[in-house]
Amino acid sequence: MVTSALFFLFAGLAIACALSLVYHRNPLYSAISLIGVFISLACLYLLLAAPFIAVVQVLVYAGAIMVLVIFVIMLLNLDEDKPILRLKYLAAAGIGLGLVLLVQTLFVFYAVLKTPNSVAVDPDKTVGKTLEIGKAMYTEYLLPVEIVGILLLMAVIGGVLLVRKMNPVEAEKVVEGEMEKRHLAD
Amino acid sequence: MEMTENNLLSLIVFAPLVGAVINWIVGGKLKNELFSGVVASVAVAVSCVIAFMIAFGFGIAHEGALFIDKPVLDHVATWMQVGGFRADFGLGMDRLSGIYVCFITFVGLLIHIFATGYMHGDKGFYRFFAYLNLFMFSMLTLILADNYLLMFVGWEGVGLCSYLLIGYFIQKDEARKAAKKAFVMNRIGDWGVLMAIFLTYSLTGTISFFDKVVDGEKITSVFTYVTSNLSAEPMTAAAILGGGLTTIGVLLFIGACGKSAQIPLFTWLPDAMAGPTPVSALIHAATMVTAGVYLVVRSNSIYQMAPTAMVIIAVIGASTAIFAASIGLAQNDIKKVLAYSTVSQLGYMFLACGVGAFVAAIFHVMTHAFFKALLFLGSGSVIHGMHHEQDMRKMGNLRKYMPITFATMVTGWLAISGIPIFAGFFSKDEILYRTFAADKYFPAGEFPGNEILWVVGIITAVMTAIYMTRMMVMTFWGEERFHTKLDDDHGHHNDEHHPLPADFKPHESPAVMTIPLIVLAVLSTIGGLVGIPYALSSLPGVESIVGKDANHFEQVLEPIVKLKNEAAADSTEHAIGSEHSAVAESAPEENHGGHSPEAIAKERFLAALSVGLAAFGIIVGWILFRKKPLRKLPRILEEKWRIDEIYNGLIVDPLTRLSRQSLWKGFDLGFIDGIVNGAGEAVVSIGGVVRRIQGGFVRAYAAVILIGAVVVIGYFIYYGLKLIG
Amino acid sequence: MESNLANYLALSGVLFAIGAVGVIYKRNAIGMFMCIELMLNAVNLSLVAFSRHYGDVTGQLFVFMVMSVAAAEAAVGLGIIIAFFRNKVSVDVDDASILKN
Repeated sequence: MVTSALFFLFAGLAIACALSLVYHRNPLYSAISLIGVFISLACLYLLLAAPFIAVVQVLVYAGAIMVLVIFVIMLLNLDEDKPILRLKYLAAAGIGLGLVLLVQTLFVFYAVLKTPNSVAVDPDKTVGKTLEIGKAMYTEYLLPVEIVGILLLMAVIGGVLLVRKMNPVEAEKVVEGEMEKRHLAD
Repeated sequence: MEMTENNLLSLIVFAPLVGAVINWIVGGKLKNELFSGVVASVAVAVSCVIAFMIAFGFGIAHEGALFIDKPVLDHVATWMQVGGFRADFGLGMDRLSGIYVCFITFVGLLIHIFATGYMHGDKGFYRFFAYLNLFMFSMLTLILADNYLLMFVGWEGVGLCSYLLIGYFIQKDEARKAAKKAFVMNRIGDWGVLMAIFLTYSLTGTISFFDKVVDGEKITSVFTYVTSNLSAEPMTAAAILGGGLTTIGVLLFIGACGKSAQIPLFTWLPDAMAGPTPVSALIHAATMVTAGVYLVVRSNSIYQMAPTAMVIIAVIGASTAIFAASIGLAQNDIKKVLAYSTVSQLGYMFLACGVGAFVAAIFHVMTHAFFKALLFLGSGSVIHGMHHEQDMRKMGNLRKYMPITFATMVTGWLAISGIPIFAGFFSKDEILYRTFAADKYFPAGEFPGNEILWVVGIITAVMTAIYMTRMMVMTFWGEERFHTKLDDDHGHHNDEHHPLPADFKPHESPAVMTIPLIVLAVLSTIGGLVGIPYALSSLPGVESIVGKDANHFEQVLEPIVKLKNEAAADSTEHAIGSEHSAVAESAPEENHGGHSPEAIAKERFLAALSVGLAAFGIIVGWILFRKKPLRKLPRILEEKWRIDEIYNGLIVDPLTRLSRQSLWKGFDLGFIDGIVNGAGEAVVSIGGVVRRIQGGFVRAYAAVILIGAVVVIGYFIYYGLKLIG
Repeated sequence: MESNLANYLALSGVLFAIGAVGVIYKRNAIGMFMCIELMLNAVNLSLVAFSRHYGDVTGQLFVFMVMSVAAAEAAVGLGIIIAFFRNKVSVDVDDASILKN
């Protein structure tokens, strides 16, 4: 009873934040909305008896990734999104596709409802405990964990390479050209 | 049947090949004239020595090949054996090829020695001798082959070497053109030979010349098969296309026309004089051009049963003889005179084959090799002494400066004109006699029109004497004309392309060139004495010197060219043979029908007649040209009856135009290239259309990805719904 | 606590759809990136729901991996955006159309 109510509460929150994310043109507002989504999802994970994942979600997503995003937004001093000048058809296409996806979601919902539950759910057995996850991580799923480590290493290297400083003269010229274009467009 | 085997035979063939390889690989690096010359000459000398050994029977286990009945065989390797068809790389020396090999290697050796002097200073010395040795290899393969297919390999090989050697001076435009012309005309003949080989195989099931046993398998020769199983064909025109022996004979003769320069495939030979003179001597006088005669004589069993083919051969031979002689009268280049003379003499040989006098044909081949090689080498010596000036109008009085060359060329002149004792007399006289008396010797009985052919032969003999006298007179007698300017003096014969100095005096050639000349002169003088016909050797005075039956040549070759009537005359009363087998004892060496008193008297009369006509020709030539060497002859003769122009206009130019316009431009460039280019252009245009899908906008890409995802999900949902129901 | 699998899956699908539309709709590179994160999270949710439903820890492990990958992707992606900005002085993805045609 309580869980259902909590579920609908957090679900509604998540959807609202998601809609807000797509709606706002200001990237900062979108970022804050996304944080809202993450928090609600973390609560949902708690409802699903996955405390470890919930905490990691907040830590990694809301704590690290979003901080990074906001940092970049501030660094680049981004303006508001301008109204659509080109590719107007994409708006309609996007909305159409979204609707199709929603319909498919409904079908999934219907299918799952229809499927007889062959597995009896044991509400007491929680696999979300940190101990359980830790055990699985370092025995059965050791290899993926290690690979993820390497992946993160690659990401670090990639990140460093990507934002190397250009030759200042070259950078000057590019910036100049771009400014000219924008002033002309303006 | 027991066969005689001797593995030394392969050495004859392979020694020149080894010489060629050594010269090509090592000589090219060393670029030493002495090395190349010695290697080449030694290779040919080895072949010569071994050839004589095997032929005459010195130093080998068995009797000489010229004296035994069965050929000396050497099976080198089995080439191919498919179904019933068998072709071997097998060599065989019987009496016919034995004679050929002996004089080919000997004359070839002399020419090689001569060439070391003649080609002195040429930059491609090693290349020349490599080609010469390669040619000797091919020629010896041709002669010593024991089946048609291997002979054809040699046939092609000599054609190739002829091309290489004629076009040896690769900078000279005319040399290249002449080489191409020679090769193409040879090729036309090759078609004939190939067709003949196919037909022979389909008729007889074999292509071997000799009966032999190889690896326990019995192989019959074409000729035993033909004589025992097939019957003679009638002398009708339809037999030519009948697909039988006559067709084979005609096809083989087409090949012989190409190789031995008979009408209509003779125009390459005069042009081939653009090659170096030793090449002209070796290939176009002594060896390659006689390959056609060899082919015909080797296949004499076939020809004796195909009288129509023999008539054709005789007619073409005679007409070529007189035609070429008429052109030779008017040529100004010393080598061209000799070239047309060669064509003419080859006509004689084919005339002999055509009337059934195969022995006489081979005899003339041998003597012709001697005196024609002598004449060519002598002209080479003259050209060398004249600093490569070949036009006779600029020569004169050379006997003062080049006495040895002069003396040797006199012997050659007398030989070719047919003066007695010298070699040419015996052979040419034999041919003329046999033509006149062809009705007796022709296997099919009456020979139609042999008297006409005899008259043609006589006229040609007179013309031969005239033009040879003209050549000698213009070159060696008279006043010196070294510095005359001629109207059509292109100077393209003059290799150095600069005029002779004012005090130019020709000089005699070095010893390495004159010694072969002397040897050949000796051979031209006495070489004919091995074939003195019975009619002459039975003359009282002569008999005491040479013996009664002095025609050793004929005795050697008799079994090869056994005329059909001979086999019958031994046993039964054959209508043709009986009246002349007055000699009751069937002595094998006696020429059947040649010893009756009327025949002997006729032969002596004809001999005297031909001597008289030869002398007449010489006198006429002397009178006409001694005082006026530059006497002009009818222009059409000088222009070779415009045959080259006719061929060019009728055949060569239309073909060239066809190739260039329709086949090259139309088909190759237009159609095939069009397809290839069109395919490329189609791909490019399709790509141009497809390119527009890539808008470059990331969001469009994202949209497309999403569409894909939707489709996939839809698929799963569809099947999921089906599951659920 | 009973888990209502269907509900969670429906929620996950809705969030995914919103994220998908957002990817196409937004012109801002950062905005696009955030919508992609939203999609990833939707999938995470469905994974955890399944894990809870079947009592298998694999789902949560998977979520863990996805989060790590998302973190790495964030780092690299933002690096690309910054580099892009340096060249174009704009994060409008419509300007990244050099590969046109």
